[in-house]
Amino acid sequence: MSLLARVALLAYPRSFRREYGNEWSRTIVDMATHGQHGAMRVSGTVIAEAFTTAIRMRWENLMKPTKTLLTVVAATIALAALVMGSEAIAVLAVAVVALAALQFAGKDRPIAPTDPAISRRWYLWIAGAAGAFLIGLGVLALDGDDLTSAGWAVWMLSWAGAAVLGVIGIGLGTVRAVNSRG
Amino acid sequence: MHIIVALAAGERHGYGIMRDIEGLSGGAVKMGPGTLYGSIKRMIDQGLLEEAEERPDPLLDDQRRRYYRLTNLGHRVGAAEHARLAALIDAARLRQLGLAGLA
Repeated sequence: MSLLARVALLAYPRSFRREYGNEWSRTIVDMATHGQHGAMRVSGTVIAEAFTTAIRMRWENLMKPTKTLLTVVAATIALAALVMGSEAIAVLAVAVVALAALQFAGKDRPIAPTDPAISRRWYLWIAGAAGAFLIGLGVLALDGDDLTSAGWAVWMLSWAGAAVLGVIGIGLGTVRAVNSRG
Repeated sequence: MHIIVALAAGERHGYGIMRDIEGLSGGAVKMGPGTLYGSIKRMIDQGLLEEAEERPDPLLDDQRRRYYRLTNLGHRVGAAEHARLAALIDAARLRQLGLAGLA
């Protein structure tokens, strides 16, 4: 494979390179040797795709974790606001709207239980929930009985986050168990 | 839909799909390898395609090539899209779309 193709392949996300890199390079060799495509045209296609298709793939790969993170943060704020009471209803409403928009807008849902790549790692969500729960416990241990306002906020958000992560983890694990049984 | 039509004739490797698409469209649709494998990946995730386990001739073929085929869902989606496009073409023909302007 030419140096140009090797460099162009680096423009694609690592997961794509790992899964399709060999075939991609084989196809370029086929295009250059068997097709009616001249070497210049094949090079042009490879370069053009590095700036269009590869960038789009990277963007899609980036957006999924980002949307997932934003979804979890929005759900955490919504839950914390719900527990805090009526003065936080405005925050709750904004968070719920943001959450709904993130989950249901567009075709690519960030936390899709049917996506095997996501549901396979359900235990990571449970581990995250345990971590957030421990942070809350740590705040309680450090701040003592009389929580400061900052300590209270961190404790509330960490336990709300633990609840959200735990619910997602249990949901993904359940879907995976049901699918593997079927 | 181009990939589904290409695979409706049977298993193909990536470059075979690419050539088929170019041939079927009379050269109007040229798919680069990045676009092709990106689409294949997405269609496998959606359950429309799957990788064929058997290779036509492993001795003669490059190991880097993988062969793809339509799943049952892929066949059904292709048939539904075929019916939808055929109905649209019939409607356009019925209304003599393109002919009225030329007369």
